[in-house]
Amino acid sequence: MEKKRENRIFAVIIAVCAAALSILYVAGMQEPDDVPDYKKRFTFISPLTWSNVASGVIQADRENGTNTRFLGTAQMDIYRQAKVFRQELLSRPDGIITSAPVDTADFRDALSEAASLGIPVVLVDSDLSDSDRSCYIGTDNPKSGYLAGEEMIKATGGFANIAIVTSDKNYPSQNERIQAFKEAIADFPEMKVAAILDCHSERLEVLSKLPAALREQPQIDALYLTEAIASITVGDLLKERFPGRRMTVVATDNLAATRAFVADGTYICTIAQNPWMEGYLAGKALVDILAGKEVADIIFTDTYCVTKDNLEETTALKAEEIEWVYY
Amino acid sequence: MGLLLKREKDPSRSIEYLLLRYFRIALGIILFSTIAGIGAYSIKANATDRANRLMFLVNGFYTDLQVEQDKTYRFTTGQSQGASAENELKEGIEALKSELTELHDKPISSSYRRQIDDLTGMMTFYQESVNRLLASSYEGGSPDGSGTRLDIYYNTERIFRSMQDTFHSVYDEVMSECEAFASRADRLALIYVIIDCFAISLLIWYLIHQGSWIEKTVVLPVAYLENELQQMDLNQLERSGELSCPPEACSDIRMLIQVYNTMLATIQSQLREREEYTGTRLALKEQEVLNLQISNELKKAQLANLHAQINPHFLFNTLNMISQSAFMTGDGQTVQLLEMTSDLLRYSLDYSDRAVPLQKEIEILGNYVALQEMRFGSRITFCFDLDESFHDTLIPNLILQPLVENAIVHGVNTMREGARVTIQTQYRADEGMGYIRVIDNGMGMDEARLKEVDEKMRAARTVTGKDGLTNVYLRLYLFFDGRADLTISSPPGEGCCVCIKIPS
Repeated sequence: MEKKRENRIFAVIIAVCAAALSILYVAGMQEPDDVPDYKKRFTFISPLTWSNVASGVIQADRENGTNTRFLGTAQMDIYRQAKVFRQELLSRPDGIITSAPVDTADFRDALSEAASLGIPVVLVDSDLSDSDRSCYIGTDNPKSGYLAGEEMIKATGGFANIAIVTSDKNYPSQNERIQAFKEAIADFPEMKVAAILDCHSERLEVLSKLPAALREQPQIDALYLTEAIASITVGDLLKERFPGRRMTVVATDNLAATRAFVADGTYICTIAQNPWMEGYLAGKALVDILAGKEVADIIFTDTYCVTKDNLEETTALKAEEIEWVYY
Repeated sequence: MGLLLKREKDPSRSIEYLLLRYFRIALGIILFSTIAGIGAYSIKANATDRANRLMFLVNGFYTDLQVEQDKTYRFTTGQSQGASAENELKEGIEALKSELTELHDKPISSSYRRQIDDLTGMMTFYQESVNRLLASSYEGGSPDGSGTRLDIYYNTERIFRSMQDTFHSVYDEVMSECEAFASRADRLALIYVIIDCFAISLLIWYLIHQGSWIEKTVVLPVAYLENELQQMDLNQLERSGELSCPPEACSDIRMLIQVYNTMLATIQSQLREREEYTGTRLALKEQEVLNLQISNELKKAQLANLHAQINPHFLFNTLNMISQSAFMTGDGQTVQLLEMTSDLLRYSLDYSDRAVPLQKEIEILGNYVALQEMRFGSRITFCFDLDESFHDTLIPNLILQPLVENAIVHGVNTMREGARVTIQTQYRADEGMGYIRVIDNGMGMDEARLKEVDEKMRAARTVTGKDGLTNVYLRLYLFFDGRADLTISSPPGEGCCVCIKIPS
């Protein structure tokens, strides 16, 4: 009996050892699982590294089973962007998402080349109207500027000397915002635009140009920041270098740093746009275009004002980890 | 016995089984660790092989692409011309496309696949461009008017460069994938190695542990057995004790020891039986000799008895005959003497070792005294001073006669006249004792002689005495169980007095 039992135990041990070794062996020899295939190849050529937009695109990829390559750069350069755009056309992707912050003929030509190859291009954030792009998805820039103007009037009561910090007043999106802002305050003669500072979405430029302007024109008591980089930079600058000076600030975009300045009262509000939604909708739009569906020529994402009061109802934009390929 | 041994034997503790299990487990572990080692090696080898194949494919594509571009250059510059060169170019592109298809199916990563797809897209442009180049001429350029032959070449060159750039990313992807795969293989191989190490340490532990166990259960008991058997003295088997079994010993050794013990017990019991048999036979022989001696003695005794019976009768007959002869001759005194002697003799024979009343004893003593009076005449006077109140007391027979004889022989024999022997009995009621005295007025004894005689007499309690006094003392002592006494006194110049004190 004893012997039989022992034999059985031996058999079980041998079986267990054999099974363990086999499992390990199979696991070791196994080829990795096939990577998930995708239906369409898209490329997002970002003027900078717009991670919020890219996150929306990734979500669209997940939902639509598409694949997007993210090309980004540290320094905005519309000519290089056009070159990269052309280069990208060589690999004949199924669709391209990009943005045209500056209106150049070169870029328009590039868009035409894409159209001639039958590759749909969706522009986000900044539009080039009358170009060969398939559609535009972005903030309603005039609405953004107008909202900023209204908030400024509310805060100053119609008396203000305003400095506008922008990326480049010649960029269509920036220009539209500034024009709408001016339109909003046109009825109040005591509200004047004292300066417009082009800072090209560069912190260094903001940090050098704005203090100079504030010292030159001591009457400036209000700021309109039309873009995201200026919005996250100015708050600290005011607190550190002009602690005593009373300043009414309306910012743009909904980044965490900007929200912090709204929360501590440095800014009266920020005009939030939804870049994530731009990316998400761009991905969907490309799929629809390729599927032959009708897509609107211009799609606006929502624009709203974030103040201290509704800070908790709105959420900060969270960017996913994006694998940028730098150009 | 066979049954007993069978029952005792435990198959799971036999040497054969122990050793079999020992080697089986050891072999099993060795086999296991070997297989694990081979497994680790194959996993590593597989990872390396896979990486090699993949890199071979990727590098092959890159080399082919460069060769293709080189061919394009040579075609453009006119170094190679004609249908064969054109075909080579076309075939090269087709080959590159099929290589891309093959690369596309490799499950590496999404971005890898994306880049391969990009490369495929570029390859389409490249093919179009090369086709245009083939259709173009030096003079007229492209037939569709898209530029000169050189322009078209530059276009292919541009696409080639783009493909090269993308390829570098692909290359990176493949490299990192191979590294990831290799590191995964490394991890698995490490698990194998750890298992292997574990198995080997298990083996070592098992070899040592089980080895010491086998040493305990087999080797040491065998050594113990050998040692014990060497010390055994075959000539003194009966003295060697049972072998104790070491508690750890395996069943085979146990059985050996058991068999040994059983055998030893059997031999010892046989030895004992033989010894007992020999002893019994010796005792039997001794008994026989004794029996013979006894029967011999018996015969002697019977003879002596017969003799003893014959002698008195012969003596009585002779005395009667003498008495009749004396009567015939009219010698009345002799007849009287003979009758008294005869009475005396009969008394001594008839009452030998029997108790008699004191009265009877004194009566017979009268006969003896009468005889002595006849012999000595007036030389010795015998007086009787008797207190008959205790004369019915039983005493051993013939105790007074030797005393009177002593008094005559040792006391008054040498006296010419005036010798007197007095026999006196006296009862003392206050003591409850009767006194019997034999008094003579002879030469008496000095004190030393008296003491010697007394000591000799009293010592006779244990030693069988031969002289009359001792005999009398002993018989009195035994008869009255130590309550009687005999004392001798001899005041100087007054003769000797022997006094017997008996309870009455």
